[in-house]
Amino acid sequence: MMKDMSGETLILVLLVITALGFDFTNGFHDTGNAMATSIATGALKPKVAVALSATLNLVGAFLSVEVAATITKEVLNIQQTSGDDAGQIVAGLTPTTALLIIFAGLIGGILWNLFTWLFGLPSSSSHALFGGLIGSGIAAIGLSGVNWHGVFAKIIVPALLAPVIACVVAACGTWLVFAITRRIAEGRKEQGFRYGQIASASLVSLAHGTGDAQKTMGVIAMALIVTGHLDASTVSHGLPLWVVASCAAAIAIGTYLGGWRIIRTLGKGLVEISSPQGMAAEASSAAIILTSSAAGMALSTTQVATGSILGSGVGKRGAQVRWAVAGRMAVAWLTTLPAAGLVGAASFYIAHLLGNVAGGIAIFVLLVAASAYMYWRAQQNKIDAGNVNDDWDETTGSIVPADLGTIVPTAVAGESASGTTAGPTARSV
Amino acid sequence: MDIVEAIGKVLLVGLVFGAGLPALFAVGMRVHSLGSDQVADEGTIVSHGNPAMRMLAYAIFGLVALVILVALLWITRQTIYYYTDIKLFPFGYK
Repeated sequence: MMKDMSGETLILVLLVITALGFDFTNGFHDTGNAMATSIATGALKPKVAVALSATLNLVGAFLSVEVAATITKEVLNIQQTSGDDAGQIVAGLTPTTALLIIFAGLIGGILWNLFTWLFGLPSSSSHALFGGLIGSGIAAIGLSGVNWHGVFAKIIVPALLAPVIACVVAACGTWLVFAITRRIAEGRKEQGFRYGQIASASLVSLAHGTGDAQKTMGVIAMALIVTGHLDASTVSHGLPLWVVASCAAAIAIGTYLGGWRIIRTLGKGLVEISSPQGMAAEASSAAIILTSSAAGMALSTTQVATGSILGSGVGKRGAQVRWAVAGRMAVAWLTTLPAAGLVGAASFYIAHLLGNVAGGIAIFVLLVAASAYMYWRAQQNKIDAGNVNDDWDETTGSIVPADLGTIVPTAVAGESASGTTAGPTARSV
Repeated sequence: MDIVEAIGKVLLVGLVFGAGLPALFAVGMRVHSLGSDQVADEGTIVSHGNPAMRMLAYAIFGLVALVILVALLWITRQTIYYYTDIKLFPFGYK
């Protein structure tokens, strides 16, 4: 019995660490949603922008007071959803299995977040987490463990609609803005709208902090309830301070470190953005994010922000929209749930195969190894505050700016191989 | 048809605030520009601006700021209710 208890506690500790890790990846993945447009137009210097966003996310996270401990009910049928037992796992599941399901799900979410970050593709962290949970849920208890209705109504349908609505709203806003300010001098326009950009971007950051940190808090709360370290009934009166503080800190630090690769794609890769477009895009994002959460249909902040940026390109006559980049993003979005699901399922199988404690440690080690590898790959062509605003490389369409290429001898005979920097390099990104 | 209703609401409110606010801001900028000094390329002032127009512009900016303030209160409504028991809005509480 004692061995069971300490084994369970070890998995719980690893789970909490992993959950905070997910929160961290969520932070840097979503910085761009609020700040990419402001960084691209120069309304805010890159470091200032991420510092502002990090602060607002921190504040927002601390403002979350009524966190749902039934977070998994959106996608899985492993928790009681109402009554005195709300939050407890359903009969037939041991706490350890429930912990492993969540743990494996988080791993699926983190690895997908890192993978898409490596390629500079904005993708929904929420979907990554839900995908991972669905995968590990199916691996653990089969198809009946999944709340298919919730998945369809609360995740798939909104995901299809979010970018469309955002695109429409932002396109209208952009069109109106340009129509109304046609006679104003360019310089004055850029300057004035920069203030607007800062205000709207700040709103998006605050909304993000209040909405997204809660996910991780809910996951940790659930793990604590399931292992008996927290009473489900106290959750509605606020979570233990260490849970709130650690989740707030994780998302803030992630935001500050700034997913520059993703910021670059959103700010430079999709649309060559000007100040008025930036403000229209962020205002559209803010309005839709806030309205949808009130309507009970929490849309992905990433998909809304991307849709808005696209819309701001559509709304301005003569604006350049790179639909190829948008297409790559759409593919990433469509594969998020299944891909994260596969990783989640695989993680659960490995853990289950090796036995609970050894399995938990094993998948944690695998997570760290895979994360380290992807981080290392990213450092090979590093995007940071210094080159985030460099011109987009039209020929490769990759996030790596043209002049980051290493000295590569050209393939054409007769050309000097003495160190011409090649544009399209042979690296695969 | 719950989903359809929710979508309709999000689209409508999104348009009003998401497109309307930048438009309002743009109107403010337009009015301010109309009320400002017209300066020729060399820097000489061609005609002086209308202070009344500029005041109107500031009033419009003030309105935009007010809407942003309301948005802030909306974001923090649950927190405010939790600590002070005050419901600032007639709907949207858990």
